[in-house]
Amino acid sequence: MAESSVRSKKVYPQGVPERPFSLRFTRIDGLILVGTLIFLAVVLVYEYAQAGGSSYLVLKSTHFHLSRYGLGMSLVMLSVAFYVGIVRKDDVMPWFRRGTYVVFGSMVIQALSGFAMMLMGGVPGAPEHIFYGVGTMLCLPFFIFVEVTANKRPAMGSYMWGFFLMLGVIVRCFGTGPRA
Amino acid sequence: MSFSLFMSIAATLVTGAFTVLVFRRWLAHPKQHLLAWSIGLLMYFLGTLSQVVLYFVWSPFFFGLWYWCGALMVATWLGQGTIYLLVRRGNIARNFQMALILVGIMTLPWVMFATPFNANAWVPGADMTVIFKAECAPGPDGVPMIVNEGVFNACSSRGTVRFFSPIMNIWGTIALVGGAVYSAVLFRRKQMLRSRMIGNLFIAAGGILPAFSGALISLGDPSYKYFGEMAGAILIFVGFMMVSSAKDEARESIEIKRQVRAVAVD
Repeated sequence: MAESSVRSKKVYPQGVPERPFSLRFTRIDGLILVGTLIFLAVVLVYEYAQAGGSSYLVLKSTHFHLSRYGLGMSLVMLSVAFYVGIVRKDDVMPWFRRGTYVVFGSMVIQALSGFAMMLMGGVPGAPEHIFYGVGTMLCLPFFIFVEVTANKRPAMGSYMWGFFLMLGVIVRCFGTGPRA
Repeated sequence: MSFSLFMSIAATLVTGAFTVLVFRRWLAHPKQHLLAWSIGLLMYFLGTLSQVVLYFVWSPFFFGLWYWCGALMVATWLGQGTIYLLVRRGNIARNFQMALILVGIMTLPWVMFATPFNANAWVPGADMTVIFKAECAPGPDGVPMIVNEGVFNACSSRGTVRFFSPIMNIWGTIALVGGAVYSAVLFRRKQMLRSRMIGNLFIAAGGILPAFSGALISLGDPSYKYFGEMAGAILIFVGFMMVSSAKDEARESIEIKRQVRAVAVD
């Protein structure tokens, strides 16, 4: 009998193959996490050496580099989401979901560094930067919520929305960041 | 009592009653579209109520609320209800709602706490649709100059929360009006539930009126804004009642058919 060439799409019911917030690591999400931590460590060490001990300058550089990291990661994750969701019509893989948590975590660190700079007297170039910054941080959790509670599967569309909006808000944020 | 005040009070009363009605219906039948419509109508009510308050006293809080509700949230939340009704595929409607909540969370503190308002532009009984933005004309070097001060005292909306207004209104109007027209065409084609078809046409007209009068404001003619707001609220109200009663009729006819079938089986 001839083998069918039509690939069946992978659809996981809610909580399968694992629950949305189960704490474990696999190869790809582990790589994303380790890569992010290495990036953050290199930025901190390098900028600390450059800034000569000024914590404000270290925070400023970390904030800057994390914004570029966020732009890059949202582009990569959006492309993966597009390929998996639109081309292959598959559901969200656990590693992708955990990768999204890592990106969200990095955006939280970015927001906290911005907040710390504000407490130290720093002011962004334009006041709306703060609201776009909050938007950048909040983009992903809303769509993570939709995905982890979605009964209609596949639900990769939520992450496409999330990363697309995050990309837009980050790009909008760039022009309002540093002081002129 | 001036015409604008009368229209604002009437719109406040209509939208207030309508909000309570739809919210109670949501409590009885917890459907997502009813919740979205309740929120949209609550925004409509808060917007028109702020308009009434701003007729008598200047308040930055009520001006911020008026702008956030009226210019950013009403159309999109009403449209969100229609999206829930029409777009059943996947999680598209829920994702739209999340995008809407995100914009709402971003813009509310922006309007309330970080946007400078020029209180000098306000006088008792002022028409808010006239004074909310500055009137500008090209200066000698081609750069726009303020001719008449407005509460938003700048010629450009770039870098301000006003940037979101056209996006949100186009998004909401397309969803609300487009959805209602689409439903009406569908019912007409299927030759069924005539009252639901007419109700949808009323909702479409009710959605278009404020959008049309809002577009006229952008073109410099605010004369229909208050009328558009009030008539829009009434038309959506009538449309909703017709669509809902059609739903009840449909439910009743299904129930009668079921009972007839049960009697026939016995």
